[in-house]
Amino acid sequence: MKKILLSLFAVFSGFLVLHAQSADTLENPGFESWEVPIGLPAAHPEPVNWSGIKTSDNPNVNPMAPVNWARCDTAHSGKYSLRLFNVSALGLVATGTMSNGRYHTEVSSSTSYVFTDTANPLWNTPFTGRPDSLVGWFMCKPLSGDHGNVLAILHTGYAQTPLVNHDSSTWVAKASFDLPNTDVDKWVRFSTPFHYYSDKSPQYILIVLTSGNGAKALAGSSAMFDDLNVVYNNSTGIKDYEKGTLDVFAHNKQLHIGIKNVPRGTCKIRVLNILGRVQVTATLQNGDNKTIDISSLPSGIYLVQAQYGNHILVKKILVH
Amino acid sequence: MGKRHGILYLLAFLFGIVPGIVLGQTGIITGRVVEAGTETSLIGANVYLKSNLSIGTIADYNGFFQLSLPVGNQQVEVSYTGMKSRVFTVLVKKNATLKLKTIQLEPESYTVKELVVRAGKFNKKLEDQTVSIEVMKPKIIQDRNTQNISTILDLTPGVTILDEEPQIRGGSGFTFGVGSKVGVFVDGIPIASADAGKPDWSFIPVENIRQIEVVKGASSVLSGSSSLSGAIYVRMNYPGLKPHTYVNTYVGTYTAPNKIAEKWWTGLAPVAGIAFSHSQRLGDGYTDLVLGGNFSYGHNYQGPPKVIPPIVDSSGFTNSKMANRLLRFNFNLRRRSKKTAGLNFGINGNFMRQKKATVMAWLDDTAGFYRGYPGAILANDQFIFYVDPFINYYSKSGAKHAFISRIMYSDSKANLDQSNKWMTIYNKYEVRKQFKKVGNVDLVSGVVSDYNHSVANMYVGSGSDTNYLWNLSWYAEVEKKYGKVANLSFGIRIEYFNLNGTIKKVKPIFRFGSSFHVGIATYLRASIGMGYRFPTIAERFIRTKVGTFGVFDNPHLQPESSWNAEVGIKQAFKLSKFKGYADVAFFYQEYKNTIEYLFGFWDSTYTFAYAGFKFVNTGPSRITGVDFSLMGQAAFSKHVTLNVMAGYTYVHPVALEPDLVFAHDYNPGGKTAFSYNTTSVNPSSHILKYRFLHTAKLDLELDFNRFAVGTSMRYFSKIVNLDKAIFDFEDVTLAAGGTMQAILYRNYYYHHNNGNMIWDVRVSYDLSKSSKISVLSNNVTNKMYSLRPLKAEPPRTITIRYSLNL
Repeated sequence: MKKILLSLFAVFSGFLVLHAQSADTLENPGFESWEVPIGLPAAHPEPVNWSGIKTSDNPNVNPMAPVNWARCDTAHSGKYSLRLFNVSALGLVATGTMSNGRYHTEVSSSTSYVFTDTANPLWNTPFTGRPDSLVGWFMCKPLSGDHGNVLAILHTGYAQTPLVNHDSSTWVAKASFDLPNTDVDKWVRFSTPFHYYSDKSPQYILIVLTSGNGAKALAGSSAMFDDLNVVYNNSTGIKDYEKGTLDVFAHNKQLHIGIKNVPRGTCKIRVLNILGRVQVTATLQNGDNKTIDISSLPSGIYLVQAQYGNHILVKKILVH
Repeated sequence: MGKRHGILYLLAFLFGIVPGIVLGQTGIITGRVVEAGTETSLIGANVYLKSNLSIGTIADYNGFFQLSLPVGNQQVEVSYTGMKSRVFTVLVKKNATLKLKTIQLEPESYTVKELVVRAGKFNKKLEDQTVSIEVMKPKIIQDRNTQNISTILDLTPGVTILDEEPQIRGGSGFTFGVGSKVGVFVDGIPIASADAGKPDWSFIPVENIRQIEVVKGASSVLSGSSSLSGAIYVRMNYPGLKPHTYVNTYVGTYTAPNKIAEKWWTGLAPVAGIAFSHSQRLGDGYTDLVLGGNFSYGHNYQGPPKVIPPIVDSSGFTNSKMANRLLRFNFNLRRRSKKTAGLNFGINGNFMRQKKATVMAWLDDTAGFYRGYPGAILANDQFIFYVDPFINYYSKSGAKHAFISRIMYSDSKANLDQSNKWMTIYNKYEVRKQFKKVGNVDLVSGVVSDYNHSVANMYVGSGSDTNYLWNLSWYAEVEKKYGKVANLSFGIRIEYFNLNGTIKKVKPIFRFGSSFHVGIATYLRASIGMGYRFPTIAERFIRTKVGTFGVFDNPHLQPESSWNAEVGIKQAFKLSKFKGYADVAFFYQEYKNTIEYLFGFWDSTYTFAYAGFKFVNTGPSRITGVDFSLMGQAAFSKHVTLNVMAGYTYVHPVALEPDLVFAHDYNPGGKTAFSYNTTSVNPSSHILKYRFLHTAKLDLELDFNRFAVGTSMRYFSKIVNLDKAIFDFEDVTLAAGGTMQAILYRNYYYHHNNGNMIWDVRVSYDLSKSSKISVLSNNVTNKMYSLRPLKAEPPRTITIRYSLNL
């Protein structure tokens, strides 16, 4: 949540400035700036430009909503990172979550959502670029069967997620990354592509970070996030295939692979070294997640290739 | 002739010789018992042989009696409720009839012990009762400077007042007083509120009480619905021969709280009051008048909330708004007809205006122990009254006809959407008669109409803010004495309930009781009885909310029922200079459909309120236990006496089907199945919620010359089990991270709640025959304690009292 002073500034001067600039970066993506919004005690600051379920638009729920985030001194870079955790209250599990938009909270998760409030700069982040990927760093400690998520929606006008009482017609692109459902106790980079639905230029970006899997979240799961960013150029020079999603990351000599949005059928996975030599192979189905032991591979840069039919998805990873 | 004469001889032999054996050692005394001054017959006065209480009789319609006694010098005692007993020594001669002079009984003073109770349907001596009854006499009520009878009831063996809610032998849990499972009666008429069945203890005119009788065990047959686990009868005073004026004034203060709790007030926290009663006979001596009044101010020991931002308390309570102010006036007017013997009629009335603040939960378990939780203080400005017209007629055939009526009205303005108006119209006709020809059978039968009308926004769960509950019942009880040793009684009651014309129910219930005189002063009793309680308007139809939390209606709530069996033995004894009786009772009770007040997500759409409380029928339960009491007096000399009242109760209250799912809510995280196990903090114990397994009570008073020193003790063991919602609230409010005041109980429950023993002390000095000055201290050790979860009990008080009996 933004400070009142900031909002005044936005209304009287900054608003024009923001519109004059091309907005193609995220606000406070490293969670370095924190503030205590009105209505919250000093012990529970929120990251500047971000808000949680205790600063939602429902004043009836806000006071009793559990604190499910914390400022964390363990950072990937800088001083702080954001820690989210799932909390149980009265038999309900409140998923740890933080957004640059605003929450509409109800006791039932089926009627709760996050939205970009276009009318109030406190609750929106202008963004006009068309980046290729959303990247960032995370650690996580999910309970078995649970996992966190990073979601970014580029859109025009009003948008909400999940779609409770609005459609996705304003969406321009979406990037989503599921955190693994195993413990990750060192900072690991994730990269997930934006899938574009139209040629329009977006006006806003809505980002939602969670430590649990929505309505299926389990109390006790936690996740940490730091140094979010958007990437405009594919640094490998190989363009990701836009029709499918290949999520890859390596941690502790374990290669985590997930594949989504591809047609039914077997998908061949190949891990190539930088010389193009196949090091490891595996097979996956759409929606599968797999962990492959790569302890035999020397540290270095590798390409992970997923082939289905005539299509190939490629991701570059760094194995420590 | 021979044959016929033979039969006559045989008859003469049988009637002459056999009686000769029995009556050969006996003679007869006859006499009449009247009230001194008015010469009114004392119908039903007890006349018995002091040395053998099994030999006795009662006076008839005109006060006459006849009693067969062993020959020789005999001591005969004559007693009557409210009169000073008299003992005569008579010389009984063999086969002779001794006609005694008219025996005049005088009204007793406050200090005379009274052992005749009416809590059973018959005016009988305590030892002849077939149920367990405790009697609290005016002396202890006055000596303890009782301002509210709940404090004296709390001292009664087997009775616990849990934050104003009566519990008898662990027969009920805690539901904020709504739907009391113990009937409370003043002069035989219920005093519970029409809407919620909640007794208001402060409304009972304590300055004018003759005695309090507590019946333990299911008493619905005798006392009607609501007396599921027992009944409390308060009997008011009537004037004696001489005018009597009683004035009681007191002033005192709460002392600073002990240990870590904050003293939220500055200086003293005064409590002060003045009460009076005056009784006398008017004019020709046939009109009785009693007037009484009470004005009191009580600085609350529980203060307003104090919150740390960003928590907001918008309730607006200040220190002065927490005070309790009470003004009460009562009268009893009775005319005994001169023209028609045996007829008396009159009207009783009681009016009260009270402003008070009731704290439902503490601010926290340490510094804020004696402060209220924001939004959990109920401010109430109430005007309430009743008027009771009545007619009693003793017919010449020996029947007593009584018609009593009560109109009770309350208008209460309160915060938290709790304002309400209600009215009760109660009518009862009762006849009682003794049938001597069929072997001394007593019969009592009556018809009761109890109409309760309520107008309150909070009861819109019925579809309207106006609701009524009409209870019509018929009852009858017969009691028969078999010789001098057995006394059997059987009762039936048929209840009809009509709620708003839509919900109707008929229920017959029964009881059977017996008492046996098994030794010179040993009385055995056994009884079995049913209990039945129809839910009140509040329990079914309450629908209100505070913030996002609500209280939800449950129109489908079913009546509670119980049955109760007990065996008891009462032993009067004399041990050196100590005279008294000990009583032990073993009891077994079973309850069905017990109503609990449970938290859940009761609204399927979460539109009225997200979550809240609802009255819900729960699974079956059983309570077994033993109740022991001892009362007596040791007279060391004419001027030194020791009065003792002690009691110990053990209950074992268990859920019989702890897995039984009795309700589901609409928890968005998945419907919660409500059972004993899922709603309990300590389900493995199977122990019911909010029960004290061990309670002990003691009151000792030593009178020596003009001084009296007394002490009272109450012990409550730790509550074994309570509603899990309390811990859930703690978790939720703590997880909120400081935007809600934390509801804290877990730490107190596990570390500071290992049973509580509370001591009160008192010292008094008789300034003259009629005036007395006393110093009293309740909770003298200044124990910081809680009985009902989240409710702070008072810290130490010190009071100076001056009383005048003229």
